[in-house]
Amino acid sequence: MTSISHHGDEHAHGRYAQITTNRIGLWLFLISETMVFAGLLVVRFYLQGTFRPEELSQVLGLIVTSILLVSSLTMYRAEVAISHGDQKAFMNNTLITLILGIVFVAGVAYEWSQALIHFPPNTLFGTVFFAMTGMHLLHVISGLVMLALMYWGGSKGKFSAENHWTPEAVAKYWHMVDVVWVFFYVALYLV
Amino acid sequence: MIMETKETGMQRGWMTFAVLVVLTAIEFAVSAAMEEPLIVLMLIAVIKAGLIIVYFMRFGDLSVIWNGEADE
Repeated sequence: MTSISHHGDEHAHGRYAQITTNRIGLWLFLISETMVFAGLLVVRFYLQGTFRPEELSQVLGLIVTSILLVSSLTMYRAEVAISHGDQKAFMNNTLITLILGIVFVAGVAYEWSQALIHFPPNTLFGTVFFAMTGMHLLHVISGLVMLALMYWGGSKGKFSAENHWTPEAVAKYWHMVDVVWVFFYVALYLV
Repeated sequence: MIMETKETGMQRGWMTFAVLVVLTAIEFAVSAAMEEPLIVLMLIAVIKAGLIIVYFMRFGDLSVIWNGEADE
């Protein structure tokens, strides 16, 4: 009995050590991703200072920012739910996050349609705008693919209170995308 | 990660979100009110990013690196 308990402790410790290693690896990946976005942020101010075209809609910027903030909350709620074994809340919040992400992409797509008219990519601000929002959008779409896969996995009952590394990793990635937008929102829409 | 109840976790999420909403509203107002708002806006953005990193991304889960032992 003691032996079984000892093996159980070893197994739990090994699992915890693995999760810790995963977390460190994920954070290093996220930090390296952030460097790319930091570079774009510097380029924006180097090339254009604080210039912002009048045609760039601050209201639309606020709307898409709000959508992304709400999606971060629902993503967080999904992660908390699955870490406590609440499958229903996990699935619901994941689905809402997925939908909000798609709405965000649609919002940026609309913004692009306006940007192409007023400041196309062959203008200096257009270059900055499309590079920044394009790189960010690419990450949002990657996040959406991961969210969809996670939702599919969740529907098969693959995650539980004891096994929720995937939701944790996807959530951290999604929040990183939100952190990046916090700075891009200021740099593009508010200065 | 220090174990907490689901309710405590959810409550923390709502609180963080509420502060983020207020800060976003302040950013919008500052942008409209100030001539050169960049520094103030960036400071607010740093606070917002910090809140997301600490509370939503649970940066504290990495405490095992500097504490040297598991707290779970």
